[in-house]
Amino acid sequence: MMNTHSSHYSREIRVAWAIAVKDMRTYYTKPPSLMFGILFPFSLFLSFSIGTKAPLAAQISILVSQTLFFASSSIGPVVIPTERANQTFDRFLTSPVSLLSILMGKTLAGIIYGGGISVIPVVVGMAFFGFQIISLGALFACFLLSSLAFSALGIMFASIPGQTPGQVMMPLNFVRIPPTLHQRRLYTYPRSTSLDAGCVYAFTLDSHC
Amino acid sequence: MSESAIEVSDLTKYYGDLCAVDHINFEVKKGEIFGFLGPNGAGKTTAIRMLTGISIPTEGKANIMGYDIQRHPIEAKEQMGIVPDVSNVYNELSAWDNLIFTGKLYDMPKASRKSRAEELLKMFGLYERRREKVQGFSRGMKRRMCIAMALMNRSGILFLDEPTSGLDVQSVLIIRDLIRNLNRQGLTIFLTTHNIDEASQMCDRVAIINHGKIVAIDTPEKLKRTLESLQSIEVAFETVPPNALKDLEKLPEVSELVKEGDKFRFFTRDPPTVLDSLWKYSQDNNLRLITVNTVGPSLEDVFVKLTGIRSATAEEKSGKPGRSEEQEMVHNRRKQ
Repeated sequence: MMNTHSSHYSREIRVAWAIAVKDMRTYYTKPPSLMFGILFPFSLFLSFSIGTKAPLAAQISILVSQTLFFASSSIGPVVIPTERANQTFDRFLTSPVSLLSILMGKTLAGIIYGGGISVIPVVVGMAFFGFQIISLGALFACFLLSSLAFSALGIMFASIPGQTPGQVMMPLNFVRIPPTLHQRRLYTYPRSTSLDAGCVYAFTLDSHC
Repeated sequence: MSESAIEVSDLTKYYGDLCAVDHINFEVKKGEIFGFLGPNGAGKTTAIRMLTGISIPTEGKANIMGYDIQRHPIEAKEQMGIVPDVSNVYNELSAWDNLIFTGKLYDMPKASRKSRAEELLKMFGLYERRREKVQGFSRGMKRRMCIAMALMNRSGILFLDEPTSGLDVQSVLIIRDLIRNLNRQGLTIFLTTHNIDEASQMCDRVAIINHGKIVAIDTPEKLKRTLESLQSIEVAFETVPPNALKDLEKLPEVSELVKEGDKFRFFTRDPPTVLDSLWKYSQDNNLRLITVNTVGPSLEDVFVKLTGIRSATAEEKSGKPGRSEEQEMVHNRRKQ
């Protein structure tokens, strides 16, 4: 019985990994992924950082957290509607694959995308601005948990029955943009209310790491 | 072990108050090519979506190789390959990678994935282009690619939804040959098609679905024989007098007269009587008959009769050129 269960779970993981790898190869360089995963957080960061009095360390933290937030949550809303439109999603539904494997695969693709891109500002900070990582373990945990949560958020929004990424990105941005504005407010106006602090803490986990 | 590849009992699907599929029952034997015909909106796609596990039936059940698609979806899906009406291949991946990914979805071991992918690419004439991205393939090649992906897991049943729709003649012939060869190797084929000629040529049995119900299910030849009234005579005159249409439709025992190009087609239960009358008519009017053919009912005739669709719709299904407005005007059906 134990063997049956372990072989079942290992199969789920193998299939999920196959789906994630396929998504990476197929969708990571698609224009909506690049636009919402890289350009969008970078543009927001630039608009915040110009004229701000926040220290550079805080600004880099903001960039890392925003990149992680936007990149991780963008893959699901790009992949799933596109696959619906091309009817390639039906391929999963007619294959001997559980819904858990499909969701795991899609989430994993978001985690790797978000995590991978967010490493870039960290490396830039270390290489050019003399940043140091105080706790690698805490940083890794923050990256992993945040990208998992944000990727799952994107997958949840991708359940909206649309066939273009825009149909999902639109409502998702109503959720994604307000916290980033709040984040900016924290650094600009340090005297924030406890509600502000709670919201900011929830969405800026990485910047505190 | 059951001899049935597919067993469907009382399969029903409601969308709100609309009954898309209404308690359908049929069985597909192992090794047969089973055709599933019906006009648009008849319930074909809904039925297939239930059979392949995409959609959940409201009532009834379907067994695939003995596995209930609802209770044992993983086992049932391992027994089938599906080719949808749209070639849902990954355009960004190469032909090779598409097949390997499909093998991974079926959790095939690495060695057997590779050997099966190579075998299929050679079988489908795509081996030389295996490293190319599929987005550069023609429609016919993508269709072959899609069928190859459906065969990756060595399934026992292949569901084909409009496999030749929209393809050029050469691709159609290639795909039909492939389907026949696969069937000869023992694969059960469930073929949904709008092309009635294709169903007639390829299927061992066909089911006709209309308004969510199966209205007929039998071999194409037996279905044709059930409709004696659809026997017809095709006639072409060297020259056609102006009032020919009105005169010809008055001939005895003619149930329907259709002008098809330069030919007239007389539907009748009694071809000899109509032939006698035609001969007399041509003698009386000094007309020279250049073509006379007696034609049995085609599967298309049976389809039109059973579904009650009008000619314009029938033309869509058959893929044949339709009747013009003028032809429609002479398409006068008499009460039998």
